[in-house]
Amino acid sequence: MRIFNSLRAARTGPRPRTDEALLAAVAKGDVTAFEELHRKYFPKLMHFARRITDNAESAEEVANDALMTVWRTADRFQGRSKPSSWIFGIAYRMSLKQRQKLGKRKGDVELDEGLVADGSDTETAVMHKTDLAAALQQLTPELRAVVELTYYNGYLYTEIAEILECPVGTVKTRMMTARKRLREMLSDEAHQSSENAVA
Amino acid sequence: MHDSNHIPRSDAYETAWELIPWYVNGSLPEDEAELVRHQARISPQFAAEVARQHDLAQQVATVDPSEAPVERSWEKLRAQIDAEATARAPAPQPRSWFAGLRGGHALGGLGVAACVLLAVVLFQPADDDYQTLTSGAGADHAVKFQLAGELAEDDLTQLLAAHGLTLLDGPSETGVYTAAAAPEADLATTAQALMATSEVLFAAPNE
Repeated sequence: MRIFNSLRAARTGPRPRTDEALLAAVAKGDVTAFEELHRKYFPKLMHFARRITDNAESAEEVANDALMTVWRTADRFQGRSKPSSWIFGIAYRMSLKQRQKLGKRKGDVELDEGLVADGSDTETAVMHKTDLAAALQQLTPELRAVVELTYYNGYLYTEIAEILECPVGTVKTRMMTARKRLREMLSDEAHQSSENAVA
Repeated sequence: MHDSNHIPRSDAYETAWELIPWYVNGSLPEDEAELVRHQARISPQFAAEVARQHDLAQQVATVDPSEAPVERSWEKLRAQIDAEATARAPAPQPRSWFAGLRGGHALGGLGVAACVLLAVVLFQPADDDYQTLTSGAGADHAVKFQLAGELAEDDLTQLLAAHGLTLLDGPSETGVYTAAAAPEADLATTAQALMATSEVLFAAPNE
């Protein structure tokens, strides 16, 4: 039986290390572990940073800088949150700084924490990808981050609160606001498209 | 309230409505997921919102996929790591020529090496931190500094390079960085020059 197990292990290769194990190895200067972490996180961080900064070049820089910070400070990770939350948190703060540097705040929809969606619009919105990308760009980076972390990265609201360093209630409110704004913008788009089609 | 008739909704409905995105992405704990499922069963409007968020989630996950240059990024980071490791490592010690002897004349050199090694051991100072004059490229020959404000990593590297420095460590919890200077560099002059730039608040030789 043991032979079969070892054969199976040889065929499937070594089991991937957990993020915790990788970070612990990185803290000891293990470059191979860092490479594994890099392969796993670089695409996600770049996508996330691009969503916040609206700029591919800056997003690549943010993803690189965030991972370099992980390399240098892995020994300071104390396990109070998930490693992925810690890494995304670093990238989020760097993205906001980068965005400020780029002076991109013009044109953002104002962040209104008090707004709550009323859900009155029950029509099925016709959502094209280009419309959605444009609509997402209209949101503030704070709202966009919540949408991105929820729907692209699959995080729970508590993890998002850790990443953004804000209360859970704020995450939920931001998501409600984002849902409302997206619904408004996308139904406007759909409305305009149908008007154009009639004309 | 989520309906056009302004009928007051229960707290359970409001709570479940808030949770829809995390039900859709599958991260919700079972008890909260059941709350959402229950409301979707009894309210067509709620079920429609779940469906709408499903559509949104699918599109967010696929919209604007950008090519992530993983290899290019790794090469850059690897080079940075190597550069920092080189800056940290002490300069080659005089006894490194033993390596050549070991490779080229393994047997003949072994006796000679053993004798010289014995001599080195016998005459080595007791202090473990003993370093030769050529080993000054580590943290001992370095400058500590604090930045005046935010500075991107690339800009910092460029700034340091302009003063013949390589980042060794930092920022510490108090925002202090350490940068290695070239062995022949005068630390006081280098620190003064660094502090004269607008980006640096304070700089001093690492003593």
